[in-house]
Amino acid sequence: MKRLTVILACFIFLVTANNAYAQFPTPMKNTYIHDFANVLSTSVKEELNHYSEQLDKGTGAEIMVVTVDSIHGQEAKMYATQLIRAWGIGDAQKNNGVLLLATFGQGQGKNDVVIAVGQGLEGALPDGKLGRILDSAFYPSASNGEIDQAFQATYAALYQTVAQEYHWEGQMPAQTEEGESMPTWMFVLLVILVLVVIIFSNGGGGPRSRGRGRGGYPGGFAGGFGRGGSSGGGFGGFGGGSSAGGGASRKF
Amino acid sequence: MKKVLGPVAIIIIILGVFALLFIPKYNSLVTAEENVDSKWAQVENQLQRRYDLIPNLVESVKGYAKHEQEVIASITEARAQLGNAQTPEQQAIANDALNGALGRLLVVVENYPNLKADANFRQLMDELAGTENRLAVAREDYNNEVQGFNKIVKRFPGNVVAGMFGFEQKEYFKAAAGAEKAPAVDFSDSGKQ
Repeated sequence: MKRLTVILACFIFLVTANNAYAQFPTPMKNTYIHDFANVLSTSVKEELNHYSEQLDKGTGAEIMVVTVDSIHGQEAKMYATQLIRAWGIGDAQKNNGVLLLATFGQGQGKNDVVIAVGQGLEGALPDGKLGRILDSAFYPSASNGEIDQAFQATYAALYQTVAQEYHWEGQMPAQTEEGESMPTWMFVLLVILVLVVIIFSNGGGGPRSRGRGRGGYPGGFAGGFGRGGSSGGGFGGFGGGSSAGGGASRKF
Repeated sequence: MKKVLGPVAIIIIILGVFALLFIPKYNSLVTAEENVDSKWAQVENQLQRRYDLIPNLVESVKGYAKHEQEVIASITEARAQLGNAQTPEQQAIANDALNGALGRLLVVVENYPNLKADANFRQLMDELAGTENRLAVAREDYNNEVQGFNKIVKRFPGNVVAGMFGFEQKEYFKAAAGAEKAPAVDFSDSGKQ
């Protein structure tokens, strides 16, 4: 009996001692938008997630949005930097993750909003620019309680900058279908083609995806945390990117 | 013949064991030192960046609040101190002094709404705060590497190898307690409306 308590105590100690970054939420699967604070509407979440997915496939850069209740008094930029590292947002080589994080349970005027970037995007998104984006895109709407708009506008500014950085001419948010975007039939054809390729290449029994416990999901969630490889289709998030601490933050 | 061969063989075996024990340790020491140095370079980069940003900041503050001589002087002074610092410890101390001066500046800025809303000033403060965060990150990475390196230097057989080849324990980049926090930029209430 005594031994059991000792073992239990050791275990608890290990768990708590091990988790220097313990207060991070666990990421949800297959999404770039982690609305833990439940402040975004479903349509906005889907919209932003769609754009992030496109951008990730097109450029390897990852924009993630996280809302939480509180970051427990920690310095916002440091928290965001460590979250990028802990989740591995962005490509492991290019370190091109972007994290837009905001708290909603710390009280009016005390909530933090922060944009942190990996080193690979510090040139395109320097701190001064991030601060300006927060001032012009996030703050005006957020201070009026228009949370959806605040995130949409901030996201659009980030997205456009990142797309520009990679000379990527994919779908842009805040731009409607007309213009340069792909005709629908072409898009549908492409999707079918990709699906066919995936199905055929996975034909010889995929022990890999089954090992993940997500059988029957072609291509599936192949990221894992830390050392993510890119997968054929599905969610390619959490590529193991790091951050050197670039970013800007505001209270709102 | 045999009598001579015996001791020679024993010596060779002993040397072999020592080599097997020490060569990997030596190599890991070299690697660890390399890691420490590269992380230190990151710390120095960020310190340099702060150093370079300060004159611009001082200029833009002078434009709106030139009567705040005391704060301006303390920032300039802390910057000079940072420029002269040699060891990690001196740099840490100078950096803390700079943090303190910037903290006082942020208090003073409250009295100058025009300065606070100035785009140039805001950008500089963002750059400075971001640099401070990078510095905190670089410092943590550096200290982690130092810890790993010092562990090898202190433990057997690393300590023997370190003694033989002159590896010494590295200094942590330590800031005074409570100085880890970057100066917070809070423009929420008088920022852009």
